[in-house]
Amino acid sequence: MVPEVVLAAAIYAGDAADALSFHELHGAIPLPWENHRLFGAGFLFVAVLLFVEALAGGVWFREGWRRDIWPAVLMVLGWGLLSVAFIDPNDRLIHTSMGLILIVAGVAERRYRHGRMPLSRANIFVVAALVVASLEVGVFHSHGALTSQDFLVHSSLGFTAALMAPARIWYAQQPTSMWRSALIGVLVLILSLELLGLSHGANIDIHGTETFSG
Amino acid sequence: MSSRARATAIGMLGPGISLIGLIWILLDALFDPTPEAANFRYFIFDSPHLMIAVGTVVSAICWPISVQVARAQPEELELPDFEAELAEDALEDDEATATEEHGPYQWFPK
Repeated sequence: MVPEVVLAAAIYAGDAADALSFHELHGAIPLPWENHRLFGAGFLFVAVLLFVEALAGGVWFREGWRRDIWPAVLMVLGWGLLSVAFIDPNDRLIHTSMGLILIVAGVAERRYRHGRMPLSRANIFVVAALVVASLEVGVFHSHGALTSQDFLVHSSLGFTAALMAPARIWYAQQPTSMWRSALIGVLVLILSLELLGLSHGANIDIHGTETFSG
Repeated sequence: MSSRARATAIGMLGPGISLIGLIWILLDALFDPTPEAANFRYFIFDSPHLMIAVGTVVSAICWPISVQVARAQPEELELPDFEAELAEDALEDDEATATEEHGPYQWFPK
């Protein structure tokens, strides 16, 4: 009974979101390039925390909750993509499947960090999530000409995300290495700078009026 | 890498990010003549402003950690091996199972 009610409510809310015009919906919801910058700031924060984790080592893990930061990031990104699938009618299947994979990867990483799953098994989910994320961002979301801003941003993001998969495999060979752990942070940092530096667009206020070129 | 070098790097991360954001704003003001709207939406979505905000939060989080790292012994700075914890837990489970099956181990002199 409950799943049917939840499903019906989700379909109704999805239809209502589809019925809104671009500016009605985006007056309150950030525009794509604004989302890029917000995600860039979030990734910058995460990159720094991953650096600090590598540098501080055991001191960082004196607080138990700090083990959960990286898994929580994966899960939050997964839920974010599910919400994108809910709001945006385009590429719903891709967003939903990607979101679910990221959530599963977050759960696997959390189990590894709490000593409940071997790294080799957790890596199956994490590396798969990174590969699918790179394909989703770099291939399915890259639209326009090869020289267009949209294509350049998404392909560079996808390439950086793809590099994280071998970096993660390299890290798994010696998980106590500071440099191998820090490399993941470096790649997340590059990702954040791409999002912050390459995303430009028009500034549209809540009434849908363009106020300046960003 | 020494404790002091690690502590310095951790402590400088936040101010470094904020400084880059500040330099970005100054360069933007110098080289981009386009007037920009000073509305709330512009400030919360502008990349250099976001960098300054992230740098401030990172500073607040990382400075106490940099002090702890500076005071820590080198062996405390090693990354933990989570798989070793998995092996320890498995060993404890095996011992607990063996105790349940055979009772606690008792030593008798011959």
